[in-house]
Amino acid sequence: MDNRFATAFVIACVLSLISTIYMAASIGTDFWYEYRSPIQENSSELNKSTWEDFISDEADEKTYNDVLFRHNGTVGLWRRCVSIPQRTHWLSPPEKTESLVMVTRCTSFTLNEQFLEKFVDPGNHNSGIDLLRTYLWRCQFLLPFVSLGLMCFGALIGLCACICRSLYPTIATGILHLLAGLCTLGSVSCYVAGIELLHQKLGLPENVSGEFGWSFCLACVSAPLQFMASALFIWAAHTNRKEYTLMKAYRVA
Amino acid sequence: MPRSPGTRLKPAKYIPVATAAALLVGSSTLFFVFTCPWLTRAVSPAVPVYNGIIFLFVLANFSMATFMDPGVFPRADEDEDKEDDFRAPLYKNVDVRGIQVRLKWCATCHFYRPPRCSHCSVCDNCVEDFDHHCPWVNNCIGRRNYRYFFLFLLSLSAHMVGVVAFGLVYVLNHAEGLGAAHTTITMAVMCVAGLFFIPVIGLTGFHVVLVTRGRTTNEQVTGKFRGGVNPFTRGCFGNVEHVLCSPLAPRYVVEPPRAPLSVSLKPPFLKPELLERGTTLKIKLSDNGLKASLGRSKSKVNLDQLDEKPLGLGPPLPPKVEAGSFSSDLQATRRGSAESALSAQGASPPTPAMYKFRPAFSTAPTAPFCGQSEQVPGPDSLTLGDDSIHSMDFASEPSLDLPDYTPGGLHAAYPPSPPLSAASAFQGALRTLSLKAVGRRGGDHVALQPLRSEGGPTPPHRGLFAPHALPNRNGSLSYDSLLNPGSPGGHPCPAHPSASVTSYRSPYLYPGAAGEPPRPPARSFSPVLGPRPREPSPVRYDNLSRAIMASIQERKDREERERLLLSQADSLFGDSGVYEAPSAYSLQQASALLAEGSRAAPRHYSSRDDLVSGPGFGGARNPALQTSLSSLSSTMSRAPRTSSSSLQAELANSHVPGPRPGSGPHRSPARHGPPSPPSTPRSPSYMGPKAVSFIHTDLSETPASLAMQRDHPQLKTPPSKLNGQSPGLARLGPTAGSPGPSTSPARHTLVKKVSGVGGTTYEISV
Repeated sequence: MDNRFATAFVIACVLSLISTIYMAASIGTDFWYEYRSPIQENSSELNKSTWEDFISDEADEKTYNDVLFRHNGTVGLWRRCVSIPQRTHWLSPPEKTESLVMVTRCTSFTLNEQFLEKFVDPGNHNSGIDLLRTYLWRCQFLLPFVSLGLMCFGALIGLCACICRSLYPTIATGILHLLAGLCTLGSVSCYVAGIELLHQKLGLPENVSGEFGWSFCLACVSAPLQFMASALFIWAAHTNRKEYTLMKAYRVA
Repeated sequence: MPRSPGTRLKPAKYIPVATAAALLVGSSTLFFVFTCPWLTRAVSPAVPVYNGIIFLFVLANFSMATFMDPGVFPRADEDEDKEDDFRAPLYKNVDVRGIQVRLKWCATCHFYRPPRCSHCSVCDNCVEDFDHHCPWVNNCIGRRNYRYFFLFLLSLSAHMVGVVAFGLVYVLNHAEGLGAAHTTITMAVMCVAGLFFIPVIGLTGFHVVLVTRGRTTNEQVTGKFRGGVNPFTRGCFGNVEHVLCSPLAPRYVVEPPRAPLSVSLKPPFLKPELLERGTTLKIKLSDNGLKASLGRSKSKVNLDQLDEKPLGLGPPLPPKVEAGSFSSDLQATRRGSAESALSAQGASPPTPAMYKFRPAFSTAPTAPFCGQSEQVPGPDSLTLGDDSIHSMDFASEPSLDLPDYTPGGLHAAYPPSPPLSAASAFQGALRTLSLKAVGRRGGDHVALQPLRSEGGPTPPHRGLFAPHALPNRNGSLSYDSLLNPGSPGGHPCPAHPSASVTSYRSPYLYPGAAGEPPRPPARSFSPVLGPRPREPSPVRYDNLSRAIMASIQERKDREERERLLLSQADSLFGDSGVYEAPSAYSLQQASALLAEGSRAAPRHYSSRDDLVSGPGFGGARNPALQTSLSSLSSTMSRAPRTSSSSLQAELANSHVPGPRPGSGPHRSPARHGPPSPPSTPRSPSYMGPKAVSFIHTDLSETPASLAMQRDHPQLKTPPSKLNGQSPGLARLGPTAGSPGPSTSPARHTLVKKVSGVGGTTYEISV
């Protein structure tokens, strides 16, 4: 019977490892939400003033979101990127738009910007603070890190359990993985809610369409993996009879 | 799928299952993340739903196949094992639907395996309907989980087909941008799925065939029922239905309840606490509540008891030493003897080799100490016996005596005590032996037989018993002389003479056999030659006279001379024992001759003697049996005085025939020359043969007939008296001695009666 509990422990470790990799990947990449806009012929009209506004830290939420909408922007937890065509020569003919090369330029959100209050009207500083959007924005940034930390701590406890050759401490590992799964789900939920509220406020242009990226999908998939791992850990520890057999051997000795 | 055999190392055992889980979950999730979004938009939203459902089905079946009990049979209990393990033949045949199926005895589980059951060496269990041990699932596939394994294979094949197909669609539609992340990952997933698809499809096909045929992989591989008919098949549809739709088989291994788990967890935490606090009653009381800890507490209690024993034995020794130092010399010697006995027993275990050495050492010191023992009264010997008993008690615990005897070093401080203690110990042993011997002699004849058997293995015991036995016998001989007037009464009885003869032989055979081998041939010559049996008889009389003279000299001489005489007496007693053996044969022959000579005489003797001595013998024998050791010791001390006085009277009577001593010296130098005092008792022995010769030659002389009549009872007296016991004889002695004047007229009356009988013979002859 010990063979099955050990097998459950091994499979739980594998699932935990996969979910950890997925969570780390989703946090590290910036494809949580993607905007698709048609290629504009008047790209030459992009002036330096607009770019400077997008890059600068003092940029307003409305300002950089407008840029994201018009230039195939992608948003992550801690970074925003835009893709613009690159003009090699000033005198190139306009009919050769197909040969244009798209260049991606990114800017990171500062910590101050991450925790800055959101306004009811994104462009108007005097419209008052929107607490819901503010906390959603903050949670969507913090929860993935909490989830990752909980899983690492659980893995550490599992390692100690292996050293002690006792599956009983893995109950703690299972509980930690359960909490991590809940944090991941929370993070994903906050992100979805935040995006919906933002689009309600600003309103997308007619030609622009937005969708969730593969980073967001990885986060969504890692949550059930964490739940499965926690279930296996708790089952292996709760119904394990290794202690019983060890005590039996001890009595015989 | 390649099946790696189960390895002994545990980590290697779980590599296949980990790999399977990682590839299954990893590939599927990557497919859902990178490929399905585009398919959802381009093809249909149903694509991720379909793949999701199949993936969940695969996961569910994989989990069931992995974590479900395959149908393990519990091992037989010890009781069952004891009964069957010795009798069980290796195979047993059973009929299943008319076909014989062989059942094999499982040496590990101790039972006959049911049909289609096999023992898995990896799980070390017998599994019902054993199919195979799957390393990818790390579990046996048996009756209970075979369906889930089968469904896992089917669903996995379908899932792989779906992933490869949809991945191919995606790649073809994104051929333009192969460098993109989505396309790269999709191609990787397709490669992994494609690689594993071929073996998975192969395995799935194999199991589909087995299911339709109603066979297991184990039967297929081992070749069972290959040539004949499979008794377990139910037809194609029936087999599939049995695998997929039959109710779940029951589980045979019952899980232990949770309570014992909680109980078993406590002991490791209780043990260090007990050790730290030490054994206290409170802790024991608390432990009593737990069933598991009762055995441990009991074991600890036993250890405490063992530890307490040496501590308890320690205190009694010091007060003995202190008492010895304060008490008088006599008490010190007694206790010293007990302690020396302890040292002797503790130092050297009782072995036959040691027994041989002890008597050799004890013979020398016992000689001078025998006098002291005689001086000491009876109760002292009894007390020493008690000391020996205590020493025996200590000997029962030899292992504990050794450490306790460390105070023995204190005895070294008393130089005079060691030799006395050693000697007294040996004296105690000798006294105990003598007491045992006395008891045996007082008992029945059956008691004498074990003496003979014991004598063989322990020769030194014979040497120890002989000197103690012989003086008693000599005493009996002296008593025989006392009972001379009553002797014909005992002898004429038909039953008594036979018993006396057998008992008379048995004690003398000991020294004869142990002493000198050439004497037995002398015995053989005696029955052939008539005159020779008469010659040994005077030797017996000489011995009696020697005993009398020795007792007289003991009284006259001093203590030192008495010791020397005792040593000489011991040697004489041995010689007398040797001489007495042939005398028995001579007595028997003499009695036979007398019987043949005159038939009427014994009849008259029996009638008269029975009337005279019958009640005396009866009264003497009954109390003798009931007497205790103390009375025996008292009678022993009193016996020699009475015997000596009666013997002196007989000697005065023997001096009456004057002319006979003239012929005595002619025979005396041939047998005994140097001792002058024994010459006087030789005269009565000389009278015997002359009287006999006169009787045969001359019948007319009346004084010759009187002498003959006197000689007959003398010859017959020893066997009759041997029947009696020493205390009885002792009592008869004073009774005969006290009515001195009455005995002389009794003899006169006998003479007259005898003359009457002679008169009757005269009448017949006339």
